[in-house]
Amino acid sequence: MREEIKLTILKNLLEEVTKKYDYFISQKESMLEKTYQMAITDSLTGLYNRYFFTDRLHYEIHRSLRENLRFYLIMFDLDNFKPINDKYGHLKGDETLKNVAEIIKNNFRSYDIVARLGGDEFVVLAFLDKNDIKQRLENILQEIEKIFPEENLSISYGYLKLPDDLRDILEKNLNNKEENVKIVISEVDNIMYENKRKRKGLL
Amino acid sequence: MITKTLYSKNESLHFALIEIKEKLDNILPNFDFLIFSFHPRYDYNDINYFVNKVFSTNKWVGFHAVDSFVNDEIVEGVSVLALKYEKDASIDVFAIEDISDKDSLEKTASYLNSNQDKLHIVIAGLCNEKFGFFVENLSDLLAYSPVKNIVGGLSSGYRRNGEVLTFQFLDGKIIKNGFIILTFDKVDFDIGMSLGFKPYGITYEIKKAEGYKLFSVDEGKNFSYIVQNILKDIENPVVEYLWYIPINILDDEDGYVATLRAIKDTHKDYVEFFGPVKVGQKFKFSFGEKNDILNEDLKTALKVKENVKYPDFILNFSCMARQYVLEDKQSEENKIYINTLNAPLLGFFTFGEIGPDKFFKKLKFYNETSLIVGIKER
Repeated sequence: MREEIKLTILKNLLEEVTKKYDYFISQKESMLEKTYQMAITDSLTGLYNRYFFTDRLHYEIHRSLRENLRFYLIMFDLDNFKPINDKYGHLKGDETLKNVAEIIKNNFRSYDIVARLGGDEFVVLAFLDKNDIKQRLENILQEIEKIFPEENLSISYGYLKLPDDLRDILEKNLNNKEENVKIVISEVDNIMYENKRKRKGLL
Repeated sequence: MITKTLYSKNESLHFALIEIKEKLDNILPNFDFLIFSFHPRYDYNDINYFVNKVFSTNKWVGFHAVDSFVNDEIVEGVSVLALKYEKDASIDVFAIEDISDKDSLEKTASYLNSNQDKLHIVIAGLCNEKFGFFVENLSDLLAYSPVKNIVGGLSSGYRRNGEVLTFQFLDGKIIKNGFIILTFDKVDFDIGMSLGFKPYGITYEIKKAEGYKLFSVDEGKNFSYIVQNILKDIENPVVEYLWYIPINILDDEDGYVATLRAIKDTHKDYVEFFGPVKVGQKFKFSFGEKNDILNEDLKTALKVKENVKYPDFILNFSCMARQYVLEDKQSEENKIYINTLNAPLLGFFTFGEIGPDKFFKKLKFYNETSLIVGIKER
């Protein structure tokens, strides 16, 4: 009789211990997940941060060369953002950046990678065709110009089709992650600034 | 030191004492000191009168115990250890009649601090479930370390006419809410702590506790719910079943098992223990059964033997809950001690044990342990 009771107690104790162990593991996993999310997220906008983006860009360059795939790297930079910060304060500036982030994110799909590089610079890795991208960029421009019309807030952008636009350089530096990422970002930045210069007169 | 252990199960206290005295006259007539254990069924008001009448001495102390150990016998009656010094050993008695007296803690600490080189045997009452805290507070006031010279237990008894019969007795006094300390001078000794319950699983942290009651653990989980779950699928469960799974409270700094707590009762919102539980303490469940416990007893006896070699006698303070877990092997524990140490033994069922922790850092209040001390006149 006592032996049976002892066995039941031991069985129940082990169940409790296992339950607690499972809970402990799930807590650890959820903490790790939280920590990872914090490490890859831009705290202001909730978009991916520069760290995650550059890592993913390198991965996608590698994959596109290996599997003969195409993707677009788009860079955005706000126009007339500085006066908002100066006139209305940083809180308003932050709120504007959040709105912009939301607009860009909502105009792409969940598969596409939308990140904030820092300041008022945003980037997207989009797995779409050119016409589709052009339409989305047009939408983004229109929506952003509605946020702060009194300060003429707008956005400039530039894009690259990868790996095609830089194939030779990328293949040459295939194993040099930093170099490839640096070249690609610098190139799309130049394109974006060229566009910004062209639009300057209009703005 | 010459030591003899005797007992009587006579229903009459007077006749039990006469029976013991007659036996003692034949084997140790010129004793120097007597340590008695009295079953609480005897009228406590008669104890002082009859001991003085039968033994004609004031060199004695006594205490309540529902069961006492006389060598490997378990006795529900009167038991006694008679001692006769052969060299310069001596016994002093220190008593606190009421631990709720303001200066009782300081007085005790001062007494122990000024007698650091002596052995102190503490026998206490349940003291309205305050003695566990008294021990822990006393530990903080001890001015020396390691603490290797204090051991004892809480008398065991039952409630009668509104009183919990866990009293101590000495010449002319009945101590109802305090304790006695028997201080042995010029003796060699070693204290052994036998636990025997193996810790299981991951650590819990106490979130809400009050006195001897534990309400919640970890993220506020009702501890009573966890405990009830351990009794599921058992027909007509009784609280004694939970004595197979005392909690092992871990040392705050070093994480080793610092003490055990046995469950006294379960309620809807809390679990009541036989000792203090505090917010922030960490613990694990443990499980033990008779063979684990007896193995640990043997290890403990061997350790004491290594240090004292041939003790004149052994005292065993063994928890009532532990005795339940020992089932049909209750007398085996004492047989192991006697056979290993080759000495007479007096002990009793306790409601808590007092002794050093594993690394002698502190004085602890234990549950479900057997604390032994082997003593030899120097």
